[in-house]
Amino acid sequence: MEINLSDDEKLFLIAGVEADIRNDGRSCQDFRTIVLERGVLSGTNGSCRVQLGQTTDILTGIKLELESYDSATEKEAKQPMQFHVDFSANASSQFAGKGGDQYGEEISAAFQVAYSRSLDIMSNLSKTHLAEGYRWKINVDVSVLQWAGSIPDAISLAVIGALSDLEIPEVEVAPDDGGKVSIVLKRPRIGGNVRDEEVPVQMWRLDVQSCPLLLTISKIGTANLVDCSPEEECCIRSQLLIGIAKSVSTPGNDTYQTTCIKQLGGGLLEMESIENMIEMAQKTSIGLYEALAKRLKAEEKRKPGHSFLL
Amino acid sequence: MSIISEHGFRLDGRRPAQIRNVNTRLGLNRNAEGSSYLEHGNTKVLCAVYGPYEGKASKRLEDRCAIVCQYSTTTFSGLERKNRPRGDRKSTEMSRLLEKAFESVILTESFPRSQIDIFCEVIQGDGSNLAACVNATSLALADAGIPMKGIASAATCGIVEGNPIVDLTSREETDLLPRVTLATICGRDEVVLVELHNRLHIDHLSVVMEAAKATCADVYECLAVVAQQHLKACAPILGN
Repeated sequence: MEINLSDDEKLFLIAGVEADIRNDGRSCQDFRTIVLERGVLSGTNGSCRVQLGQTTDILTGIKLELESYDSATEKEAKQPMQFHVDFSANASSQFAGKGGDQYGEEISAAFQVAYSRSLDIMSNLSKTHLAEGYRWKINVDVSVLQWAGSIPDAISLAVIGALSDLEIPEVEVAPDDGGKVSIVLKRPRIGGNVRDEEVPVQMWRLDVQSCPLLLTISKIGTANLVDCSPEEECCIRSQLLIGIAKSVSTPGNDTYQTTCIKQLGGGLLEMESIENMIEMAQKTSIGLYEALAKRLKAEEKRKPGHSFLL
Repeated sequence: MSIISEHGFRLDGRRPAQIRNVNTRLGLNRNAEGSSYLEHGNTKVLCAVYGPYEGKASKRLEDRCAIVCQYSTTTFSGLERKNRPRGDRKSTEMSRLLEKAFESVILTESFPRSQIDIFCEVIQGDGSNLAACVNATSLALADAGIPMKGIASAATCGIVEGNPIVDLTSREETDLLPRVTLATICGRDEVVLVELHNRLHIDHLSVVMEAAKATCADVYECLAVVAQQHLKACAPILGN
């Protein structure tokens, strides 16, 4: 989707933003309506769909893989998540063919950076390490189905939603011949003559309450904005992608850490504005974390066979 | 496990000539001229149509419009994770097949020197992906109001021990059984696409084609109802 704004339209928009009134009636630190649904794809281990302002539409699916690695060459434990962002041509014809690859790779790289210390941040992620040389690999694949601004923000919400929906099977690790191990799915023991295959495998979930959120803070005129619409994105001077992670080590007294800062697009920024933008990201993330936690708690489990886009 | 049980049921409980549930929704995508979402059981496809617009000069045709299709699957759509959503040999082949099929469905002479883009995204693949894409594209084109000879409908059919089975799931597609994807216009005898996988005995060909044609007609009934309902829902906007 291409947006062409005249100079006067841009001036109107910039003047409005500087007076803290946006074209759709929001103030600078307001998000559009967010819709989050989990468990939308039965073919994945965890999935989530996020809609932002009714148009930006993100679908995330997670597939688990049992990965073997060489423990001799790998000194420090690697975090198990792999991010891949794909821009579907459905979102805009400019993403057809290889059109969206560059932007997709840029965002995947930012997520890889933001989640690079996730073993320290997320309390039970280290459980994905099963035995010497074996671990679960978590493939987080994101598909951008519709595009109307603030893609990284929506993706970060969808990733957290999908991670919270992810069910990882419990396994039993037993030593085997030749220093190897055998990994078997763990099933709870049930008496009677129920066959082993008919008992569902035990599952566990990740603790997502301190997963990093990625927010784009944009500089338009002298104002800082969150969640830009496509029209506003035409007027951006400079944009920062800021990753904020909540640390829950001290209950009731949450602190927020910055896990990633990245400038998107071009533009110049003063040191002072960068500080202001980070401060704004932190302030916004408090509200967003709260809303997200509430939604994840309140959302009902989706009925099997129920389709999500209908 | 045999494809058809001794009582005549398939693995998911269907009869051999029974299609899966078809669910659709039109006009989801606000950026596109026309869009559709279509489900055949667990196969879920999104399709968007952009155009007709003045496209690239390299693709421009003087007497008719150029049709550009792109078939892609999300990396998590199948049983195993894929590394690339598009660009591999199989999806390029699918794109070309769709392109050729819809070049003969759309009245391309009405839009000389223009281009129509058709993008199909398989969100979840559970067999008959190409057929689902054809059906989704037909609906998206209808939603975009692009003149066509008729609504194209498609179905994938296979044959087990001389008996045809229709609308295959991915479990049924993994077996080495011959399968034919057929697309017709308005469920009539106008074939726009036919594709065969694996080897098929010549005696079975007419049986499979007959079954596929009948299924296309069935699917067409579903699509026609959806298109008509959508048109009725849009009537207040159109003003009559």
